[in-house]
Amino acid sequence: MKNTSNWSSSLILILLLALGATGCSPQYVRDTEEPRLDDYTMSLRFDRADLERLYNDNIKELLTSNVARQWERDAASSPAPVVAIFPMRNETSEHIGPQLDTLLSKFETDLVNKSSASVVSHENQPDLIAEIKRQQSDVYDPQRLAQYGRQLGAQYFVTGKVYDVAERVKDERRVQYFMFVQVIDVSTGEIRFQNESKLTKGLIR
Amino acid sequence: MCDRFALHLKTRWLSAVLGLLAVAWLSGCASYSDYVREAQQAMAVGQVTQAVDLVNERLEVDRALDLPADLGKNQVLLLLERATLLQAMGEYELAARDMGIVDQRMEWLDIGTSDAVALAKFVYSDDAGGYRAPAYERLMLNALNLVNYLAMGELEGARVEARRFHLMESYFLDENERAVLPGILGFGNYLSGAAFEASREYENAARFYGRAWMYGMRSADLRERLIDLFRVTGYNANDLPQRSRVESLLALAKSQPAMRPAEYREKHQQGDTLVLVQTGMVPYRRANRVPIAQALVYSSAVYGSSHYYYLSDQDRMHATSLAARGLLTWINFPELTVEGIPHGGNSQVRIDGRLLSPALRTHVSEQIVKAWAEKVPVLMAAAISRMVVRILAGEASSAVASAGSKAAGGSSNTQAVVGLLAGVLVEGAMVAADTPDTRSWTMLPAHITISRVKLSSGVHTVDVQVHGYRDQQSVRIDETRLNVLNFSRLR
Repeated sequence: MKNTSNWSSSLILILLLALGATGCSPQYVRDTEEPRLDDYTMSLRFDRADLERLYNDNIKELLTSNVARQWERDAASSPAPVVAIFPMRNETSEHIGPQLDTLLSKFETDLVNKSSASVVSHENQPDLIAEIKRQQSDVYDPQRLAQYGRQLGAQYFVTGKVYDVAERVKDERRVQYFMFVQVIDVSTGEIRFQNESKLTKGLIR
Repeated sequence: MCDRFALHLKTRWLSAVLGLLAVAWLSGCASYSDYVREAQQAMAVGQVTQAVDLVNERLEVDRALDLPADLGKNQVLLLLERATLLQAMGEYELAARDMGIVDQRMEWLDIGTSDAVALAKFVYSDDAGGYRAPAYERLMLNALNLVNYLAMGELEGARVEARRFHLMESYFLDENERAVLPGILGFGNYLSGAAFEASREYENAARFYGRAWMYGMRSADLRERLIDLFRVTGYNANDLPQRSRVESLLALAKSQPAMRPAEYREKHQQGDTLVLVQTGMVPYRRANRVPIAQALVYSSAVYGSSHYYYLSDQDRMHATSLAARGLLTWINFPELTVEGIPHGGNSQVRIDGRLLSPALRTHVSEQIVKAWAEKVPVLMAAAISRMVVRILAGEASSAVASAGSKAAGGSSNTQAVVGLLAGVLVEGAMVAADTPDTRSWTMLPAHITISRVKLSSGVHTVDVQVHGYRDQQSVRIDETRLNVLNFSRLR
C-alpha cells in the first residue's frame, strides 16, 4: 500500500513539475542586466560584432590609402575634396541593407574626424538614397554615378558591394560573406581604393 | 462480491478522471485549424481587416504594427498568416517585415533525411517543437515576399528574395518534390526573372525566366522575352537542369542578330506592368480517423511496377497482431480538406475597361494536394510505427504496475486496479498526444494568375472581379520601371 502511495505522489509531483515548466515567460532585458547579451549570435545577418569586425578590417586601410593621402595633399593647396557616401550594393541572399547603411555611417564618422576630405552627410540625403535603392543595378555604372555625384557636388563616393555564398545542408546553413569597400572617382568612374574582407556565419545543430 | 463491484466502479471512475486529466494536460487546447477558423472565414468573405484583428488577438498584440513578444509554438505561423493578410490589404512593408521574420524562424520538414520519430512529430502535435513547414510553404514564403518587394518597387529586396527562393529550390528539394511542384517553382522563378529584368541584370533575368519556362510557365510574352534576353546576353543555359526545354528558343535567338540592352528596354520594359490576382485558399489539414486496414494500405506506394513498403516488416506484423486483438483499430491522421473555404480560380482583370487575358496561371492547391499525397505513405508509416510502440509500452506499463503492487503485498484486486490505472494513464496519454497536427499556412492562395501589359505613365483604373465580387483601384503607373499590382483581398 505504501508503494502505491509513493507511486501516486510521484505522479502528482511529475504533473506539477511539468505544468510548472510551461509557466516560464520571456522577458525583455538590456545589456547592463545581461552582460553576455551582445555575445549571442541571433541570425545569419550582421550584428554589432560583425559590423565592428568589418569596420576594423576596412577603415585603417582606407585612411592610410593613396587616395586618402591625395585628399590630404589636395586639402592643403585648394578646397578639400568632397566625398559622399553611396549605398552599398547588397548582392547577397540576406536582407542586410540596414546593417550596410550602419557600416557606412561608421565610415562617415571616421572620414569626418580623421581625414582631410569634406564629407556630404549621409543622413541629409535620404530621398536620394531611397531613390538609389529603388533603382536598377546599373545605378552603379560610372555614368549614373557621375550624375549622382554632380547632384551632390561630390568628387568621390565611398561605397562597396557585398556578395555571399550561401549553402544549406539538411537543417544547417552557412553564409560566407565577401565585402568590397571602394572609393570611386565620380568624374572618371575609376576605382581609387578597394579592400576585401570576409566573414562567415552559420546555423549549426 | 459487493465490495468487488464497488471497487470496480471506483476504479472506473478514477480511471476516467485520470484519463481525462491526461488528455487535457497533453492536448492542451484546440487544434490549429480551430484556432484560425474565424480569421479564415473572415478572409473568405473579403473581411481582411477583421481577419487581421482576429490574428492579432491570437498573437496577443493590439495592432499589425506590433510584433509578438514570444515567437514560440504557433506564433511564427500566425505571423505568416498575418503577413498574407497584410499583403492583401496593400500593406507591403509590414507584410515584408513579418515574412522576413518568419523566414528567419521557420524550420522546414526534410522528408528525405528525417527519421521516423521526426516524421511522427510532424504528423502529431508536439509541444516541445515548433511548426515545421513543408517544402511548398517555404517556397511560397519567398515567392510571396518577392511580390511585396516588387509591389513596393524595392528591387534590392526583391533580388534578395529571388536568391533565397533559388537557395530553397537548389538545396532543399529533391527530384520528387521538384516533379510535383512545377507550378510553384515556375511562379517563383518567373517573379525572380522579373526582379532581375527590372534591375537590368539581364543574364540573371534570362537564367530565372529560363527556369520558369523549364517548369512549364509558358506564354507568348515570356517566349519573346526569353529569345531577346538570349540575344542580349548570349546566355547559353548550360546551368539549367533541363536545358533541352529551352533549346528551341536558344536556336531561334542564335538565328537572329545580337540585341542591345536599350533595344530590349524599349521593346519589353516600357510601361511594363504585372497584375497578380490571388484567389481561393489552399486546402487545410484536419484530424481524421483512418481505419487501421486502410492506414496499412496508405503506408505503401506503387512506383512503376514495384510496390514500396515504408513500414518495417516488424512494425507491420505488430500492427496486424494488435489490430486482430482489437487494440489498434484506427490511426489518427491529418487529412487535407477544402470544407468552408473558397476554391478561387475564377477571376477577371480589366484595365481602363479593357479585359486582360491572364498569361500565366499557378494552381497552388493542386500542387499542394499532390505534394501531400507524395508524403502520405512515409508519414503514415511513421504514424503506425509510433502507435505500435505506444500500445506496446501501454501493455508493458500495465504489467509492471500490477507486478509492483503484487510485490508490495497488495491483494489481487489492488493489483488489478493499479495495473488498470497505469494502462489507462498510458492509453489516455496516447490518445491525447496522437492529436494530428493540423497546422499549415491556411491563408495561402489556391490560384494565382499573372497578366502582363504595357501601360502609359499616369493613373489607370484596374477592376478585378472574383466570383462576381469587385475590387476596383486607381493605380499610378510609371512607364520607366516595372509596375507590380497585387490583388489578393477577394478570394
